[in-house]
Amino acid sequence: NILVSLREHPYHIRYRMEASCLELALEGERLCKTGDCRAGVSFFEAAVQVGTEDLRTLSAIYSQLGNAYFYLHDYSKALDYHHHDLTLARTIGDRLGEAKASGNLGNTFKVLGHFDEAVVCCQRHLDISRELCDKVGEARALYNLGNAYHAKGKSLACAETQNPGDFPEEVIVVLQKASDYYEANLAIVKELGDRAAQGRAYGNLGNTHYLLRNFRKAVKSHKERLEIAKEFGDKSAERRASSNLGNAYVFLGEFALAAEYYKRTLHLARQLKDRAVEAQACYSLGNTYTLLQDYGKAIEYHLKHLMIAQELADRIGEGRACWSLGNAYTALGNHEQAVQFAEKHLEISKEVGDRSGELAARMNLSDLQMVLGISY
Amino acid sequence: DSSSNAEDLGAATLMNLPGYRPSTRRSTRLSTFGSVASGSSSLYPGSCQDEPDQLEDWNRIAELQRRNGVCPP
Repeated sequence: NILVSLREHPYHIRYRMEASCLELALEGERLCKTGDCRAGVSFFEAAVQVGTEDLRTLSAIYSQLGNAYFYLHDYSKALDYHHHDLTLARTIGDRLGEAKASGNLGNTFKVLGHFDEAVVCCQRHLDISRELCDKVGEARALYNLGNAYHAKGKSLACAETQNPGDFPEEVIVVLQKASDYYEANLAIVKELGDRAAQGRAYGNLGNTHYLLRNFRKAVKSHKERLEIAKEFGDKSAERRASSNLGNAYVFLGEFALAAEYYKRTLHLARQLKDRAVEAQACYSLGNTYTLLQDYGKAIEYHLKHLMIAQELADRIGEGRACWSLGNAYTALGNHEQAVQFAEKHLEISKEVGDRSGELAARMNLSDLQMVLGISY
Repeated sequence: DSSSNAEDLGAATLMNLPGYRPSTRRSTRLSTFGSVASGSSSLYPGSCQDEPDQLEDWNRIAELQRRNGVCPP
């Protein structure tokens, strides 16, 4: 429609429109670059309203609109625009554009949980990049394919079990594919000397190894990720790597090392002023000190976790903290305190409809009741 | 033979039960950690800290404009 209406305008108007379409799109891009994607979207939409005869510009606008909506978590709109971009690129026979649009479409399908469609799109990105001998595109496609399989494996894993490694064959096959694609990506980005891309691949490869129960390999990858995060002064990435290292060391039975990495996570979470991450780090520290049988420290961290959970009105987190505190006080022989937290745990479990939590709390209370000789 | 058939039948029945999962490789230590963490372990697969999604650079349109300056469309 835009193209038809453009042809109906006299030349001087068309000339003005071309100029203003590009100007609007440029302003949209500038705004997105500064982080204001909401305003950026308005300018891109306005540019689309004006329209352009230059199909490469239109393709770029679709692509950036899709990216901006992706950034704003409006994935169905992101899907629409990346799809328009793909259609346009195919119509004008722009293979590079088709590859890029396919990659963007794949990422959007991935976050929407449509993993099979995501794989098809990312595979097309890979095939075209190889055909065009575009190494950067090939690396990006391999990374995105890894992410699609990783997300699929993780979603199956979360539905299956609480512990990594106890997965059915299907999940393991999917995660192994993710690992292979990350390795293939790493080979190229190392050759290209792209350290930032190496950091991303190591981070996700480490988490894939973790789910596959290859904890030594997970540690190796996350240490590489940590090094690169420090090189870039990227505190968020350093925080992620520290937390992931803590998790892997717990499974390796190296609890003291795990505690060190969780403490680093806590320190960085405070620096980054991220209360939710701070709470999770306290909870992990509480559990790790329980494994180290240092119940005093465990209580200290679980109380910190409890405080933040209350502050964030996170009832599930609060229930979890009460359960952990009840157990730690029981281990110390402080049964009166243990009863208080077990009661609180029971109350919250009932409120949030956590049946297994409720049952556990009842069992704890009846045990404590025996010890204390109280009847309820 | 009949005994293995019976086992197969039993396995098939079990497979149809919601949440049944054959053969676990869970270690004793981690069962302990699981109980410590109320079965809502902080090491749940969802707690992996993945890399954030990487978007294309916000330079594509600016580059097009430069291209248009050199060779008009």
